[in-house]
Amino acid sequence: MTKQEFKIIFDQYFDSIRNFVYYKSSDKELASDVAQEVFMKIWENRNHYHNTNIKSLLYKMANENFISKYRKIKSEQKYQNQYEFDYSHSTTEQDVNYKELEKKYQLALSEMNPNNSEVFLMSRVEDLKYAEIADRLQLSIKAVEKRMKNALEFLRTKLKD
Amino acid sequence: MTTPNKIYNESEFPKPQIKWKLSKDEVWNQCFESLPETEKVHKKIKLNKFWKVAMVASVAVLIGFTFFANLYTTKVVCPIADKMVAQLPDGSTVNLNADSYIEFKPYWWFVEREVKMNGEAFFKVKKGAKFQVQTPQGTVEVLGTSFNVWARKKNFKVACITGKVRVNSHKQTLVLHPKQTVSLKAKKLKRSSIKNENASIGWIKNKFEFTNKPLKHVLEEIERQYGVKINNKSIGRKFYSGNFSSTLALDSVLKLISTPMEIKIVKSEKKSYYIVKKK
Repeated sequence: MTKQEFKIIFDQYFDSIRNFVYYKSSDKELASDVAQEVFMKIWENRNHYHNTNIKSLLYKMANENFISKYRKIKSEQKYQNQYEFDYSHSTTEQDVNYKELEKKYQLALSEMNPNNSEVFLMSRVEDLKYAEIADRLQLSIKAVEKRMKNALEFLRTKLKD
Repeated sequence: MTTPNKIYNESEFPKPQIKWKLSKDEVWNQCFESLPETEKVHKKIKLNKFWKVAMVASVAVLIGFTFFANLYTTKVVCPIADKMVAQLPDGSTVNLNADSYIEFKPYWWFVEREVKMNGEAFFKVKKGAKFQVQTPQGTVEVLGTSFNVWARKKNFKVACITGKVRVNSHKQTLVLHPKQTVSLKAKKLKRSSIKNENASIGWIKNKFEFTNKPLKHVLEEIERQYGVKINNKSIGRKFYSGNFSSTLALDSVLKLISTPMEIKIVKSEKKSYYIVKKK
């Protein structure tokens, strides 16, 4: 792999990987560290990837790196203001109390099953198609659909008043 | 941005955003831009693995060969009624008399020159590193020399023809110069001078000379040279002085021996004889 090829992969997937770790940890520093380490490792072993699915490998490595770093996550700090929100594309009604909604939303995301929230966020934040998510996480499309369904049902429940 | 193909209507929920301190490009510039892309690095990694394997493999081969070289032994046997010459890896030669053998390690020769023997052999040693001959009764050490070693049963005799030879036996050691010989008498090394070279090494040329040797001894040599059995050799304590050439027919030799010794050597079966006293 040349440096140019490596940069192409970096440009394509760095944000996704960094986001991915953030979905799991809500820790920006950790997410940045893990993402950098993962890409550095790829660079160091760049001559060993001939027929590899780099994409799914990146996610796998990020997951393992994250797990080894962050055995126990402190719950309190975690789910406070981990996301900003862009309401311009949502179909919710205009006269919603944003602050309250935000709080409920953040809380709901933090309480959701991580498998489901991961899929939901990859779809919502990065606009990835289910097939793409399936490829990156090495799941079947059906599994992705199921997790998405669960995530939405959970959110609807949590956010209804 | 194209509308994603989704089954579920996620857009009812606001799109989360993450604000990062450093953008992707900033991270690249900080951490990855300066990475050196050299063919050398690539090659180094590849070489390391190769050399590691190569090293381990060659060490294994070396150990394996050393084991083999130190264990693999060549034995040269000279049967009864025969004579032979053996070549050692450095060009040294060994003449073997009947019923004798030598053993050495051909692949270990250039580390150590060591020969085990039994019987009688004449060594012509090329100059070089220490050369050692091992027999049950003693050892002979050499440095570019020729010498005769007799090691049969409990007997041990060494005759030095050229050069110098160190003889060790039963915790004794002495150095022989040319024309000197040493033999074991009651476990003690006794040195004397070679009166008759033919008596010591004539056998190489098929000449057997004896000066006041017990008849038994002479008959034993005949047994070895001709592949026969001579029974009751110990009749009388006769001493024999004389010689014969092993190129002669056995009957002629037996006649030569028996006449002066006043005995008759009678054939009982094929290759088996016994002695009868004359008188």
